[in-house]
Amino acid sequence: METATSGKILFAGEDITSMNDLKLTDYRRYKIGFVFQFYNLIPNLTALENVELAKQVCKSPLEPEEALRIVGLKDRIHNFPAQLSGGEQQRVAIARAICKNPDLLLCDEPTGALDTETGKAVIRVLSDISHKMGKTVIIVTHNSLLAPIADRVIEMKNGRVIANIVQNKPVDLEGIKW
Amino acid sequence: MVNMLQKKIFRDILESRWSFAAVVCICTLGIALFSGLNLYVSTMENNVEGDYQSANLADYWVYKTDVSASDVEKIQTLEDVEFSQRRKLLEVGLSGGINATLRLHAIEGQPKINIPELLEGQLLDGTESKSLLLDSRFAKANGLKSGDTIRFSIGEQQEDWLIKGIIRDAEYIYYAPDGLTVPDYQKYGFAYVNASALPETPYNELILSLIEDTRHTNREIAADLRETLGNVNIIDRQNQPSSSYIADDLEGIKQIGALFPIAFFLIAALVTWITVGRMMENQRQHLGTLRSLGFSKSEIMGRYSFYGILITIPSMLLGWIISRYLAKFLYGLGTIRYTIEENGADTFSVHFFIGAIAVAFVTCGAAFFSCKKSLKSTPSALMRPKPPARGRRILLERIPLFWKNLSFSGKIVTRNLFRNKARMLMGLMGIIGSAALILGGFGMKDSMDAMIDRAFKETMRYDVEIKLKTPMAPEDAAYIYEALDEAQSIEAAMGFGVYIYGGDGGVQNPYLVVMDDNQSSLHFTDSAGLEVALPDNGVLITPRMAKALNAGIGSVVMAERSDGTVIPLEVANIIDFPVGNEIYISRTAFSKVSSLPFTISVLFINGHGLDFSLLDNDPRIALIETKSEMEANMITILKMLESLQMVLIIFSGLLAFAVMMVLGIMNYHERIRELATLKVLGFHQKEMKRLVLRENIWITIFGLPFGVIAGFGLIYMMGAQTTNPDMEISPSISASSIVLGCVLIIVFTVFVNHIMGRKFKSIDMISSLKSVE
Repeated sequence: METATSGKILFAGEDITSMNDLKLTDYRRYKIGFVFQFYNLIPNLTALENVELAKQVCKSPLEPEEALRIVGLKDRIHNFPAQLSGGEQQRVAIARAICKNPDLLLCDEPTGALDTETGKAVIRVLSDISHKMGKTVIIVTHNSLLAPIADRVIEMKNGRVIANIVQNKPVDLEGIKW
Repeated sequence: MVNMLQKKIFRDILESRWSFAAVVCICTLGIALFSGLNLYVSTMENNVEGDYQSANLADYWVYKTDVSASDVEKIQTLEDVEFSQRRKLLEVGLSGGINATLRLHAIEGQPKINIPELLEGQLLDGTESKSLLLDSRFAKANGLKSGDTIRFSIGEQQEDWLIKGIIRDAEYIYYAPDGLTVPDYQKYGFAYVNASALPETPYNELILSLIEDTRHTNREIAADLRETLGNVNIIDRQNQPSSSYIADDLEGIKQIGALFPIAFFLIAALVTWITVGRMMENQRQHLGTLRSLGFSKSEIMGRYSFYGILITIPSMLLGWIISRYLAKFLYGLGTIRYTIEENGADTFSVHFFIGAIAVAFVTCGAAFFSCKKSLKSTPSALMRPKPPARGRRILLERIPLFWKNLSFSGKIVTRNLFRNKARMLMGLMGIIGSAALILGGFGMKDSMDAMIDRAFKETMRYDVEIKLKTPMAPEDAAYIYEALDEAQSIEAAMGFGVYIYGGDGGVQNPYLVVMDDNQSSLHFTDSAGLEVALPDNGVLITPRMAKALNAGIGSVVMAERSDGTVIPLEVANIIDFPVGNEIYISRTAFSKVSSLPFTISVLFINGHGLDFSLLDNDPRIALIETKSEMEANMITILKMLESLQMVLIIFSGLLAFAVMMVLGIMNYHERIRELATLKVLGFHQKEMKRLVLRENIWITIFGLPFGVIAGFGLIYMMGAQTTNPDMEISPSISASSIVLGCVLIIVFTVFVNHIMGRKFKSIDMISSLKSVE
């Protein structure tokens, strides 16, 4: 989405900073799942159809119904985004991301627009995806209270890494509050 | 503070500059078309009316075999008559290199009515013999100047006459003589001479002008004239060939000039309404902020209505410039047919201001009302983001067979189409309108071609027509038959102009043609396409004549010759002959209704490679014209109509383009966030285009069939408008034109999509991360 001003980013040994536009599109298409802060669902598609949309563009997708079941929305698959709550919309967005069966899930403030309880439910889904399905999930957040649950925490300030801590014993989600 | 608000609006416009430009474009087209067409019409009307004034054009033309000096005196004493004057009307042939016919008006002294305007040389002083004032168009077409001489052949004599001056006459602004459908300036002209120069010719024409505030109707005055002069032939100004033709022609353009711009203004209103509404929608939060800062509703509405003014001002300027070119162009074409001042079109007409006010009204109104609509919510509600658009199931989803088989992108496109009905309507209207106009244009071209084909290939079966200057007894014409002994056939006919008075006071001035009973020069067919032979009783008339006279098969009309003879004619059949203002009768039928002897005035000749050199300088022959010459003449005059239609088609095409662009831009901006998301998800540009731009294609496909139907309607309308006594355009359109028109519209759509598609490259993915604005 952005180009690097300096340095290199390696993904599975490949330098993505030197990729051209087409290759980058393919990289996003096949390798990355993306969860936005404001969900960015297509308003005139149902939950299921929003997930199907992502399924269209990848090689080995999960079944959309399965993806929605994982995020716990099996009963709401025929609802339009306007008929869903914020948390539900965010979970549809996650289902859309995991349906692509990506190697890496990038989440931009996934709980930013949600209240604590809904936010927790969303984080629960993300952590299940990481631990049960074996995917790498990166969460970007301002909420430092979330940090204890992560396997690794990279702290940044003004665009620079100031700490890179591997946590051998992450705290369970139920043990934190914000 | 208010200035800051204005500044903000300027910046808003800059941000949505393409939509703004498209709306300005549509408004410009509306103003240009409305004021351009009407500017032409008003210029023509002013010029023609000015010519009538300065020439003191007659109000009545009266024809009688011999108008005596006492007749003139008697007329002069009638209370409504201002001036009256008698003239000798005579047609003479020219020889000596110029093969043409001149219509001479011989007058005593100086003219008081129908005063010719001198363009070059000198006027006559009333005493010269063998001097004349010559028609400027005829002079130009034949390369004649004042001081030159031309050779008349009067009877058996050849005389050289001096051209003293070159003139223009308000009576002959449009001049297509009897039996001719279109002007032919090289072969027909008019001239003024002194009455004393033609001592043997009797006075046979009386012209008179009325006092300005006459209280009598045409009918009463005509009755007065008949009472004074006996049985005479009377033509009023409304029915005088030149002025009635001009009036009809301008009326037609006026109607187009009202109809088309109204469509443009309506579309402009719709597009402005939607565009401004969109802008307001995007600026909900700005409006909320302004309100909470303490601006009153009326201040804000007032400022946003300013948007309408900003659309109007450039549209006025551009519209005015284009309208001047348009009027100039049409006026230039007008000078081909009409003998008018070649000074070009006027600068302004009141229509320009009407158009500008209409645009200001429509755009300010649209801006004002959509702003008012947004301001209904409280400031705090305005500042909160708008709730996400409600997705809705559409009717089509209830047809599972259809819905299941629709591709995924198909589903998105269909739902989106039905979600925003106003936009779909606008797109459909744009497509239907432009398809109709483009097909209308093609249809008119086809119809004209069909008309020319029907007239010159199917009906007219002769190759050459010879017109005699004065009717000849059959035995006197034998030498012509001898000169053309190579011809396959020669058929003689008698023809003369008659006046037929319709029930409602209108006068038709057709040419009555008497032909051999079993003639084969003209192949008549009825409206069903069946062959019609010349009947033994009654006449054949054209449908336009039947309509004008309100006559059907079996009705009897009274035809009056210029010498006052009245011939009762029964309508035997109505024939489908698209050009010419003529009535046909067989010799047998004619002998039953009139005692006039058969004389020859026209010869129809069949044969190829004929040698006419023996007849070329024959003083008794007015005109030798081949069918292809007639056809070429006709096409020249039809060019005017065709050009007007081209203008309309180009304008409509531009309108369609602007509407499609607005649609595309709006669709793009509204969904930019969606597009950014798709891009992050890894969609390729091609796939995104398929999702978004296919909408336009669908609108085109839905709209086209209706466009074709509307196009047919338009062709019928334009056909009816262009029909006059001399020709009738029956609507028709070929399959290939329909296909071509549709292909053009599709190419348009694809082109707009292509332009929009290029914008997809620059979609910024980061915008998908930002908060919903």
